[in-house]
Amino acid sequence: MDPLFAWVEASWPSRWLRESLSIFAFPMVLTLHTLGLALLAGSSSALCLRLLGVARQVPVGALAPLLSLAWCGFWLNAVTGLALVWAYPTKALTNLLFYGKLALVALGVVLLLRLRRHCAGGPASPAPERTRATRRLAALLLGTWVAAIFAGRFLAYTYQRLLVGH
Amino acid sequence: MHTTPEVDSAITVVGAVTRTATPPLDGLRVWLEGTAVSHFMNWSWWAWPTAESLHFVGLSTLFATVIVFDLRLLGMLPGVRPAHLERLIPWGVGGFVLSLSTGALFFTGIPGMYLANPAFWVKTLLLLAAGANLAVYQLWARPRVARLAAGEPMPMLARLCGLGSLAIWTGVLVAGRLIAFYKP
Repeated sequence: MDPLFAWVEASWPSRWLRESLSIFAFPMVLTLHTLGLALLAGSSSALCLRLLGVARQVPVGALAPLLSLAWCGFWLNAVTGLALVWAYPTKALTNLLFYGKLALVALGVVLLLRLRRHCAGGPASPAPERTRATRRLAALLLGTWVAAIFAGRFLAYTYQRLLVGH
Repeated sequence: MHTTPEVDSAITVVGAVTRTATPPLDGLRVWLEGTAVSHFMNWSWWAWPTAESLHFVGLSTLFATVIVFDLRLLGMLPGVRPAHLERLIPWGVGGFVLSLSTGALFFTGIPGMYLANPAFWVKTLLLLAAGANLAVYQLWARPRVARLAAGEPMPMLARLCGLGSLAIWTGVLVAGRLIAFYKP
């Protein structure tokens, strides 16, 4: 894989992200990645809390716009995450934990897609928090985001190699 | 004794240099750096990333409440009665307390870095602004929001509080992230 890493690291976007002193290079991408995390985990956690029975007078269907916001956060982080990997491909792809984080995010996305079905339905449909499957899904999604956050943070402390030449 | 003035002036100069070279809150820094918590934060390989992860879990929980509340104040989520959202507040407070206490651990770990970091002070000011915004909402906007009939538009002050809250908390997050890039 080293020739591929070396090629990516030598490309101008990678070099610009790593070496530019501009606040719009690496710092902005990392900041947007954190903002995306707040949008994705924040919006979907609010929905999960409701499905777990917090603020149960609120109709679940009325919170559906939160799902769109969560997807905005996801796509922001998919793009900024790709940029971060492009800046440091060796650092990310030689760390096993990175694949663990990707797996957790993938699980979160699958759960979020399944959550959509539990948020649909008018006032006539049964209160979603009553069904055990919905509660289990909401709790699992909350746990998945916590685990993904831990995995993401520990990436900065567990990498073996920073760049190909190191 | 004719040497006394020279000795005196030397002491004065040394004293002046010491005073100007001492940053504000240096006593706090020295005291914090001597604590067991500070040593632990620097010595343990997992303490710092664990506190960081919890800091992010806390901010996500806080944002869960902030996003729903502010969207409602801005007139989105029209199907939600504002009074019904108040059950979310303890979760927002819990998230904030988690982030504040893990933040205190970082500060205790390397207080000198934070005290000399402009991004940290911007973040502190923004946190104070968030508190002021919340106070304005509680004092003047919340009573009117609570009396709002279904379908009635949100009062302008409540909308401004919602917009201000979203902007300020986004600013807190940005300034917090930038602390790492303004290390003295």
